[in-house]
Amino acid sequence: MNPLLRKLLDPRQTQYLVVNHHFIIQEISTEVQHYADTPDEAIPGADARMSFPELIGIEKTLMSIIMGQLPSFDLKGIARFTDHSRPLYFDMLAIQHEEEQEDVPSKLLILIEDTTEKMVMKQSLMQRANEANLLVSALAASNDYIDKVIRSMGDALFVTTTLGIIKTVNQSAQWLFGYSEAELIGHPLSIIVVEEKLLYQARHCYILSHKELLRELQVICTTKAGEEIWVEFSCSAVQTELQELYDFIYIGRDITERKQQEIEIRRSLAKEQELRQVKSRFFSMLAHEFGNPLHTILFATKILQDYGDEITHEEKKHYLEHVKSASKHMAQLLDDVRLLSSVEAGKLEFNPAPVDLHKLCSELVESIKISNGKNHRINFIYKRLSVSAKKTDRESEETQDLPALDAKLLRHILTNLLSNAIKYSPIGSNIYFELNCENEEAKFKIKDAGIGIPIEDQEQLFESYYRAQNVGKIPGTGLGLSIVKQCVDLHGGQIEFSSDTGLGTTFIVKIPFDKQR
Amino acid sequence: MSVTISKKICMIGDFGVGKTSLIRRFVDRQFSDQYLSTVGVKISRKSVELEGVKQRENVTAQLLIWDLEGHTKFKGIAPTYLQGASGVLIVADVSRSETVERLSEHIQLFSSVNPKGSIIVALNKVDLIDEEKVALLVEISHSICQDKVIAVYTTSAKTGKDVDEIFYKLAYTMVEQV
Repeated sequence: MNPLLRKLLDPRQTQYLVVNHHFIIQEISTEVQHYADTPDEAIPGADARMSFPELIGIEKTLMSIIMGQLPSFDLKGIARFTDHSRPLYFDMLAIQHEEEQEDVPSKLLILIEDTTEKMVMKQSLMQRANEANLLVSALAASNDYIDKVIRSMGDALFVTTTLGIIKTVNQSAQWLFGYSEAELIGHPLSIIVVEEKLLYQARHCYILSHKELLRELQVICTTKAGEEIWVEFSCSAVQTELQELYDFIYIGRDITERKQQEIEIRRSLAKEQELRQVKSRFFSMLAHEFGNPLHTILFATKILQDYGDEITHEEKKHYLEHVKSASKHMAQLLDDVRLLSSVEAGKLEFNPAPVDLHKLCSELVESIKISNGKNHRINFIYKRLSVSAKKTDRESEETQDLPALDAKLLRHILTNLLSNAIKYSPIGSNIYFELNCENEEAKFKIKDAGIGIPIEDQEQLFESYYRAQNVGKIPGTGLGLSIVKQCVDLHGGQIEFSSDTGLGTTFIVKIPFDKQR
Repeated sequence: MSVTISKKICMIGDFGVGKTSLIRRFVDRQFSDQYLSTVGVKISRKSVELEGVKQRENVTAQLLIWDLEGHTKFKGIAPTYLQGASGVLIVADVSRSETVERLSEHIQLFSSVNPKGSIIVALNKVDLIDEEKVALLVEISHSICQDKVIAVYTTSAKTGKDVDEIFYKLAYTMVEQV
């Protein structure tokens, strides 16, 4: 090698080898073997490709350099070590090596520069950067997957802070409640959960208890459209980066349909129970109310059959009267049962026609006085206010002023209330019957000083065949008030009462003149 | 008659796909879970006996396997390393779909330097994902690579699945071309 070139390379610690066009080593620097793959073969006279396998495959390129067709070829960062604790890296540069004598062919100078220090540093940096990138990539993939799972969930998902401020929602939650993500995030959960305190309690319960998942928390929620829906939530918590501070995860399912079905079933069961009670009361009434008159009839007919020839004409007449009265009583009972069943079946109709209420009530009072009111004082009071304003002499115009009501239904109402007042009041007591027409409605008030209705019976008073506990031996079917209630309802009216046991009862019936259909 | 033919093959692909691990499994019959990034280039040698190639009884192929620094978003693969390579193993990681998507880029790079070079694709780390996913990725890889590659293999340096096969297949193909 040119001594000048050698002088230049030595201080830079650059190693070299010179090879001919057959890649046979011609000359080497002192430490070039340190970088050889097989050091023993890095000697003059040997094929350089054996000790430096990097040269295999690029022979054409190297020949082009020898021939001066290419300026150089370099390979950077060649690693030559098996033990990672003792790394060795170098850069290789191949250039043309011209001999000083003109007729000697050119050779190839391969320069080797140690880059271990630089490459070790680079490895360390790359290692960290690549590890971080792999982590980011794994994290992104995992996040993406979790996001997709959450998005595809059929159940609504909410994540809130400890205080119930919404942090995350999924698509199902937006669909279920009709809000967009932006309308939910940052807002309290109370915007959808009516009874948010239930969830608040659940959160506290979770923190205070054994941190078990709370299941089947059924609450009423409101959608954006204002619709109320039943949602069943499960609630669990995840600890935030701060200890003892939790985020809460709610997973909700719309159970409105199920709830409605439950309510329907409960209603049906209650109805069935009620029907069973009505049936039981009906049979009980049948046994009592038909029993007595039947016995009377059987007894009287037996006397007439067995002793017909022996008893007097007066006595016969007396027994026949008994039979007649008992039969009449039974017929009345049957009429009541028929009436009630036709009302319940919706067969009883409201047929309004002008009714002179004063006349109707007066006639009714007279008729009751004659039939079963002989032992009581029935005081009828009539107050007429609004209707009087248009009073004229002409009958047809008067008829026009009369309210259109159903007289038949009114008779059922008033007869039953007055009969009850008489039946449950002591002999000789006063009964007040007041008719008051004002503000386009008729108010009937019937007040007695009878046995009264115990508080515990008041709720069921209008149910068919139901009788208060304090009726004792006073006969009755438990149908009267039920018929009254149905007739008032047909009129679109109201019935109310107040009662004190032992002091008496007051019934007030309000019938509007213009029924709201 | 037995002859020895030396062949340069390169391993290219994104960083962390398991190029070094495949070489280690093939050359040293070893595997380590620990990730150690390669910088620069490291050459490993392995001689393989090939039977019945070109009517010769035996051919010994001395494979010079160039383990190249992986492609990152900051630095691509230097084409000078690829010069004179007879074949290439392009490696992707099935658990990172972006490395599969970049296969065509690597194929293009290698073909631009060595238009006649043999290419095999290794979809590595198949031990990490479901079989259905692997099947789909193979299909995607075929559509990416089309007829530019000899074959697409699903490999695992961890279990050794198809590791020898990729190197032998490449060796046969390269020697056949001589």
